[in-house]
Parts: sequence; structure tokens; C-alpha cells
Amino acid sequence: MSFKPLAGLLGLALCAAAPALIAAAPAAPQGNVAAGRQAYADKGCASCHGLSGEGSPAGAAVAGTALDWSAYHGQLRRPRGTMPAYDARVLTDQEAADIYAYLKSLAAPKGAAGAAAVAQLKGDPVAGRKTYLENGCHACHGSVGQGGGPGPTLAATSMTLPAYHQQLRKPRSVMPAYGPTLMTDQEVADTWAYVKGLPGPRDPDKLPALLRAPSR
Amino acid sequence: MAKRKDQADEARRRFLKGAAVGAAAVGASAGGAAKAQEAPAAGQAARVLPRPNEIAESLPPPDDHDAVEQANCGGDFMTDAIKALGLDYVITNPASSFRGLHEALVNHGGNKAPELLTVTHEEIGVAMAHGYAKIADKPLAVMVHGTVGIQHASMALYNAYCDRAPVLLLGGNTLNAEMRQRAEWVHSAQDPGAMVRDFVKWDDQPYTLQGFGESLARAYQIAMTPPNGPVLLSVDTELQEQPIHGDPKMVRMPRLVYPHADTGALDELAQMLAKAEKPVVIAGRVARNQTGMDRLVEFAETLNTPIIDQGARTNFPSHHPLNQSFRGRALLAQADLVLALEVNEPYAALHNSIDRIHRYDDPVLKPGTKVVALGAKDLFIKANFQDFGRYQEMDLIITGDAQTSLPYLTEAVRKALGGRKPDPAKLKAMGEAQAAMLQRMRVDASIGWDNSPITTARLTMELWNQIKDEDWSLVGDGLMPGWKRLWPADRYYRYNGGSGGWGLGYFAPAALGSALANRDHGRISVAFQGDGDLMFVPGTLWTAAHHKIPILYLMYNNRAYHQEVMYVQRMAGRLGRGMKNTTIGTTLTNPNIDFAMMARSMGVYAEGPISNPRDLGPAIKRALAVVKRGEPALIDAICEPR
Repeated sequence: MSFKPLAGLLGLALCAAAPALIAAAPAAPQGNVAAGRQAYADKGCASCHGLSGEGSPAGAAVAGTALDWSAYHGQLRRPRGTMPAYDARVLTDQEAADIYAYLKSLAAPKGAAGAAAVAQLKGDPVAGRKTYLENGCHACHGSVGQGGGPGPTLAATSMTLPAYHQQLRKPRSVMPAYGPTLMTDQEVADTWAYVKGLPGPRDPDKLPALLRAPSR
Repeated sequence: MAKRKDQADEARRRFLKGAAVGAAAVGASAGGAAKAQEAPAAGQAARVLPRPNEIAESLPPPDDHDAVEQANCGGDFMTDAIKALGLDYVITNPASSFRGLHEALVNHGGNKAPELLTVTHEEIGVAMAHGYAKIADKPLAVMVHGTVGIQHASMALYNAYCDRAPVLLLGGNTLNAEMRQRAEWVHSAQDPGAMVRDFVKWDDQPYTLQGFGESLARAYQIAMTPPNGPVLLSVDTELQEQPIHGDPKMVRMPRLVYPHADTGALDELAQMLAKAEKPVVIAGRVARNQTGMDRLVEFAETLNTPIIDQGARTNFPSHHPLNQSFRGRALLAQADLVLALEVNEPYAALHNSIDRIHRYDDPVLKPGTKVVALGAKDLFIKANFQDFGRYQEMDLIITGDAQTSLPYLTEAVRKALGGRKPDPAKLKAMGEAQAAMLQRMRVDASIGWDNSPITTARLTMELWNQIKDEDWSLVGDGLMPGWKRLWPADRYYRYNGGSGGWGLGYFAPAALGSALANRDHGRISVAFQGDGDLMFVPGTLWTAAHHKIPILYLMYNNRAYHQEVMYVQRMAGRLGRGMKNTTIGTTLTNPNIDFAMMARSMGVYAEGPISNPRDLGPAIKRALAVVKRGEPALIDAICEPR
């Protein structure tokens, strides 16, 4: 991607377009939430507006945006404030519509209610394994959650799903954050189901190379 | 000398002129001057190009100053001077700028003490010297080729500098511009030391043999006096090759006594330690040899205080109950006094550094905790390279070599305690904490035991299972996870620490240097060898085979520069751009590298790639049989990233 959004002062961003200054927006194409999530990440929107559209000092909160399509489109093409322009060479109308659909999908409330909702999700360990490996979780935690490196052991984890979800979304330590643009709540639940179902430790006394390992 | 050169040049001009006339004559006889410009036929080439004997015959005979048989050379004196230092080896990649010394070492010196070792890259040579010094507690010399050799050696030299390892680097150079011919110009420098002066302790360029002898002795003294470090001598080619003039005297090396800390300050420290309720000791690069470890044990047992061994050396027995390295941060958080012994970066040891979008450092210590440093670091420090780390506020800094100063400090603590005996309950609690840690590690090591790729825990423990009854030495650890904590390291040579400067291309050759030092003691040298590190210096394997240095390289092959995979992931996570591209530029796949084939091509016994963990133990056993008969071996194990 050759276009890089400016990270700087708060722009009026997506929330304060002035229709009078903006050419009429095309009819809104049908947006695709998944494609929008990817485009939102690829085009650098998250740099200012946050992984979950929660906003930052550099960009307004856009999760569940209240802008109508026309205002949203106008802000992209001829933005107010310091937000860089996203013209059609950088972002097609279809991509803009996908992102719009994605932002609208982020309207679910966050916080305690969100955690409770997450707790109700049922994870699929098979899908979770795929997500776990494709998203580089194994790089630190090991492909079977064995830990031992920079990431702690996850095999047969005792973490609850909400706690696990919280660590991905807003990690403590140096773990990279996995916002909803990278991993949906369902995918988080899937990876949790995968690691929770992984076999934990075995009896070291039954493994020859560990049998005589010093344990004082 | 200039006259002789002039004569030779004149003769050569005459010859070339005659050859040109001859060629023109051949062309003319074949049909005119124009055809003389065409390429000669194959049969004519031999007549056009001068044969070597024709050139030689055209030269004037050597004048009286050019002795056909020279009685001796400066290299002979240099060899004797090196022998006088007790150096066992000189490592070299052969080159013209030290051909005089090279010849003298193998003929005049008999290629014994020092023995010449051949490497395929100067970086390998210096890293070998680095690893050797950490086991042998003395340097060996590395001869490198003028400007190019010093530059090749520079990365390894920086590692040695950061790791406080003594290395004696000899760089060939042609000082007299009139004597330089052709490539000697690009291989010479007015001031070769300038290239590396920021990260050697001292350098010199002697102009006489007497000066060489004195500077060699001074270089040795400086390299070996704490804080240890590399030194460089530029060695003139003419000085090596010309006859010995006059009567240069060998320099007698004095016994070196290392810098002892001020005894008054040590008494004050002893009082502080005796009064402290929860003192904690951090050990950086304390033990240069077994004496250093023994002294630290006596000190710790006298004070009954926990030791946090940073692992740059094996300073303290890993399974001694006072070794509490595994919970160092927790202990530091409760400490009321911290003593940092030869800790290079106390700030880093006393802070948690958080590498996030907003970077910050959290202090580990509670307010009011006193911090004291004892070490030789401040006796030698330079400005440019930032290896000294961030400034740490302290209550007392005592300058002096810790290993040398520990006996006095221990006795002072004993007096300050006034007969107070160590609290057995405290010792027992620390022992129990360590036992619990070891048991937990042993259990955790079983997770993913049969997984392929092989887990790092299984890699570590399969090797341990084969060497546990041997006198082993882990001479390289490219394996970042700390499973080796399960190995009882009870001697200083059990583990030799890291590179110091974190420059790749260290582990393989430094491990070989350490193995060289271990060879004389009959120890079994083993190393966890990273794939990325070995690809910097694969020629190390040839040196291992050629000189029959016994070592087992157990490849920790994760087919990546995996630390960088994780770093790029961190950036991608920060920007919300996904992880799918983070393997671009960070992995060593497509094609996968066949390290066993590479090793075999250089004469090293090898097995692999091994992906099935069940195959690992028997392969290690077979490889160790090779090592025990005095040869190197390599096993390529395909492993989990971490």
C-alpha cells in the first residue's frame, strides 16, 4: 500500500462531514463486513481510529458510526480536519462500502455486557487451531500451546474465555493486540476452545528423558 | 632497494617491447599490418604470450642485498615472543600481509604452542578466540589480513568487547609506502586501528622488533586485566620478513595482579549487608574460572543471601539452594539492599522494560532500596558504543574486580555479622522454592512431548539424558527458552554465556573455541546451534573437522530468524494489519536448508533433518560416540519456533 494515513492531530474524521461541501455520493453499494474488516486493517484506518474503531487521540471513534452513507463517503473523499483523503485510487466505493458495513457491525456495546456476551460464545477447536496457526499465536506460545518461550503455556489453559478474550483485545505485557479486525469474537472463542482442549502435562516419570531430570 | 626495482622495471619494459615487435612481425608475414590487429590463431598464442621462464630470464640477477637464503627473519622473533606469552594457538585465514610471521610460526616455531589453526573467515577466528578465552581464562591470537581482515573480524571483535573477553588480534600492514606493491596498497592503512578503536581496549603499531615485543606484552597485560577485552597490534610486513637487525630483547611478562576494590569501601559494604534484612546479589560476569565460582559460593553462604545469576557466565551453581535466578524479579521487589557484582547494565536488571506503543520502564525495586555496585566496568569505558546501558542511580559504587575482591568482602561480612549464623529456615525456604520450580519445569517440559516439530523442552532434555553422566560443557546456547535450568551446572565451564553484543555469527565459532579449550580437559562439549547463526559462519564446521575439535552441534532449527518474526508480529499487531505477511523476510524456508548435508560436505559426522522426536535420542547417542572419539558431529533437529 503506497498511501499512509497521517497520524497526528484529531481530525473531524468520520463524524462531522459537511454535506454542502461534498459532491453527491454514489449510491451505496452492498457492503461486506468481512471484506470491510480486512480493508479497514489494510488501508491503515486502525492507525488512527483504533483496532476496534474505539478511536484514539489521532482519530475519532467510529465503531457503530452514526454517519449516513453520504456523509461517511464525503469524509473519506474530501475530509475535514487532518484526516488524509482516501480517493478512489486508494479506496474504491466498494471498499468504502465494505468498511462502512464493518463499522456498522461494531455497534455492539463493549465492556461488562460485551464480556458476558463473549462468555456465551461456543468455540470450535478445529476452526480454532487453524486461526491459532494462521495468526501467529504459535510463534510465542508453541503450536501445541506448550509455552516455554516468550509466551506462557496455553495448553489446557485455566483461563476463562472472557479473561482470554480480554488478554487478546488489550494484552498485558508485550503481546501484540488482536483487535476485532484481526480476530472476531467468534474466532477468539475458537482459539480458546483449541488451547483449552490441548493436552496438558504428562507424568514426567514415565518419560525416559525426564525421568532422571533433576528436581532436587 | 629502489635501484633494484628500477632495473627490474627497465628489463620488463625491454621484454614487452620485444614481444610487441615479435607479434607485429608475425602479423606482417601473414598478410599485412592490418591483419596484425586480428586475434592470433591458437597455434600462434604460445609464441605471442611470454612464457614464465622467458620473463624470469629477462630479469637482471638479484643484487647483493637480496640474499637468496636469509638466516632469520623478524617473524622468528615474533614467534618467540608469542611463545613466551604461553599462547597455545594462533588462528588465521592465510594472507600475504602476515606471510612472514605465518612461515616463522610453522617452521621456526615448529607449529607447536602456538599451533596454527585455519579458519575460513576472520569473524570465525575472533569468535573462536572469544569462546576459548571464556573457558581457558587466557587469550589466543588471531592473525588477520590488513584492512580487509580487520573489517571481516570487526563484528566478532565487537561481541568480545561487549562480553569482556580477552582476544589478541594481529593485523598485517605494510607501513612503508615504497615497499607496497599492487594489492598491498588497498590492504594497508596509515592507522588500521582506527577501524575498530571504539571497541578494543588498546591498539598499537610497532615499528621495530623491540617495539613489537614490548607492545605484545603490553597488549596481553591490558587484555587480561579486568575488565578484559580485545586488543589489536598492527604488524608490519617488512618487520616480519626482513632479517633481525640488532639484538632485540624478549620481554619478561610479569605476574598480573588484578584491581582490588578499596578495602574501606568493602568494609562499609559489609556493614550494609550485615544490617540488611533482605539483601539480594546479582551476578553478571563474575567468574572467570572455578576460583570465581567458589568465591561467590563462599560469599553467598556466609551472608545466606539469594543470588541472581544473569547467565553471562556460570557464576554460581545452578542448583545451589541460594541460586534464586528463576524468581529474581520477585526477590528484587522485596529487597532492601541490592548488590550488583560485575553487572554491565544495572538499570536493565532493576527495571521491567515494556516495549509497547508507549514505551516505558517500571522500576522493580521498592522506594528506599539501596543499590551498590562492585565491579571493574568503570575502569574502562568508551563513549561511542552504548553498551554501558542507561544510567542507574546508586547509593555506592565500588570500583574493582569482583572476583579479586570477594575474599576480602566475605571476611568483612563475617566480621560484620559478629558470629551471627545463617538462618536455616531461610535457606530451607529457598531450597524448597527451587525444588518446586524444578519440579514444575520438569512437568511443563512434558507438554507436547511427542509433537513434531520437536519442542524445545524435548530437545533440551533428550540431550541432557545422554550427557548427564559425562563431564559436560554447554558451549553454545542459541536456544532462547530456559529449559537448561533443569541441568545442574555446578562448575564454571558448564555454560559459557552469550555473545555480549548480540551479533549473529557468534554461537557456532565461539562454541568451537570453547570446545577447543575443553578438549585438553577431556570434557564433552555440546551446543544448541541456531540455524540463522550458523548461516552466517558455516565454514566453522570445516575448521571443526580439519582440526578434529570434538563438539556436538545440536541444531535448534526453526527455519527462521524467529525473534524477528515475533518483532514484526508486534508491529503488525500494533497497526492492526494482520499476521499473514510477518514471515516475509524473516524465515529460512523455500528451500529448507539441509544442515546435515552441509556438515557432511565439510567432513563433519551428521544426521538429519530429524522431525520425529522419537528419533532424536538415538541420534544424539550415535553423535556423542563420534564426539568421544575426538571429532565433531551435528544433528539437525526441526524444532518449534520457541
